[in-house]
Amino acid sequence: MGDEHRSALDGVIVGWSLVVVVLLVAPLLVAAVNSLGDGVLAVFPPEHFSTDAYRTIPDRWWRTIGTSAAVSFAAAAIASVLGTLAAWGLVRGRVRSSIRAVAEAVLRSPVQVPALVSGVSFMLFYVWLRNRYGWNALDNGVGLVLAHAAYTVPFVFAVVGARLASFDVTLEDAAMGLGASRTETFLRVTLPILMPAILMGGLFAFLISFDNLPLSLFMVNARIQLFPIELFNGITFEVTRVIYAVATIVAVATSVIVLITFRYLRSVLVHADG
Amino acid sequence: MTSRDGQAVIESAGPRLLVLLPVLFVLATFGLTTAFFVWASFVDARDAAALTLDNYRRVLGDGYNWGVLWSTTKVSLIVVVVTAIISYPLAFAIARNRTWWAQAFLGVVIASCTMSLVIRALGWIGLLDTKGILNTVLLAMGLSERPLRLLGTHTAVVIGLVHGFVPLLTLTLVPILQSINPMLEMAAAGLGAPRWEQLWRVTLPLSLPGLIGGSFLVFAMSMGAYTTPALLGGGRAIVFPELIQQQVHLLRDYSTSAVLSLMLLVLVLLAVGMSSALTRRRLPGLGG
Repeated sequence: MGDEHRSALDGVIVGWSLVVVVLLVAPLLVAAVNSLGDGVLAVFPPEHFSTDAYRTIPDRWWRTIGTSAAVSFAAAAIASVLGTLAAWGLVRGRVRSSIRAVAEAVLRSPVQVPALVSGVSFMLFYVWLRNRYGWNALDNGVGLVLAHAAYTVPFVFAVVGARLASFDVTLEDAAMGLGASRTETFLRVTLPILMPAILMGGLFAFLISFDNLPLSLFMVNARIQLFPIELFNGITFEVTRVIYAVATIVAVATSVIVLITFRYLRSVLVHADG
Repeated sequence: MTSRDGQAVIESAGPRLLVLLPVLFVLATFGLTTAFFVWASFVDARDAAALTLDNYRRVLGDGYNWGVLWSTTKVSLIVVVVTAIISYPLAFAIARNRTWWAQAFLGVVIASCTMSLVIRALGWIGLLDTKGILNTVLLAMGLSERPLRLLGTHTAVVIGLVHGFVPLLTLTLVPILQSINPMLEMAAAGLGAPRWEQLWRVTLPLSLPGLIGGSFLVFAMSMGAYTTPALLGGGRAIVFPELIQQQVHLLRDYSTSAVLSLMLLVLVLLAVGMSSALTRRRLPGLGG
């Protein structure tokens, strides 16, 4: 219904979109193709199909993936709690509009500053702390976790805030009308409805933290190395098939997570008006 | 206890105080370190107790820094225009079609948003390298005699950045385009406007604030981007954030890196401010 005003131009737009979508996935396909050849250096086209690269991935790759996952998980956990509290307070609390504006500006600021600049400022501060008070936040990972947590709070805040804004409060009315206490209503009605948004915000925070390079660039050292930086260094040194293989594994894993949660991510990312 | 005017039921001083915790956390980590680096930019390199403007004189007086800032600005402006031209039709197709393929397009766009920038840059290296896929195909087809050297140029940097920002701008545009009633286009059609004129004179102007707001955000992210330019520029086509990285890693010059960071921060925040002034939509951008 109502499609009669459309024309060939709409066909052109769809064709254009198809080309763009193919180009969006192209680099990942390239990485996958280049990982499946023989020889150490990635030359295209591979002469023989081979999965050698996947069987010879050195341990240090799994180690850095593990470290990255641990740092990002801790950061995402902190960000989930803080982002949810912030969204809850700002949507449900009676906050004066001037204070609300300041709070929102503060909560958004970590993503507005270029991550590399934040990386410099965290590093400078931790170096000063070490020299002045002897507390080394750079060697025990605490420094990285705090930086990543601050950086990802805005994402959880946006996701949970959007869900809360469209929350049907009559459900709470109903529960309380039926005799539930405030705490009971919160635990048995509000929280279960909010939980998917909180988990999705946390997942989003995890993925963003896991991928982020510039924020951590100056905070890694011989004791703590993160995956994106190890990969970056590997690429700058020499692009081998093993590097393509590692990248493909991580890319496929991320894509699977995103596909599983696609329905929810879509509703959060496209209809969120936080 | 009622919620007549949309006021929540569970509402007291409690929720208000909850905001304090996250706000204080962000201020104590992010705010404190940012204030610290601004202070560090004034500290005398030889005498840590003295404050000075020498760092600023040295950095602002160096024409090389301004040259890199200018070329970074040029790259970012090109990235903004190309990203907008590529994203707008894609967002329109997704917003106006309720079909399985429109959903598939959206799926790819969302998956791209969360895809690692390092891995995407690696893919582009595989495509653009002198021994890469593009050159292999060009040589095999006889379209070129020598392999094109694309890596290490600003062209490669632009390609990589556009690839990174198209999904983000598309996601910003889709809800804006969805909120424009297609009936308006039909009304224009009823008045005799051909299809291109309906889109050019009705739909585009209505979505323009969102498009421009989103473009300022793309500009801000492009100015601050490090990962993609560093990998695809190969250390030859330098952008401003790479200057900061060199000061820290190669020269260990913390005060210069602080001044350069502040220059970048001011520029980026100006662009972000323009963006929020133009659009009320406030999804956080993805830095990188």
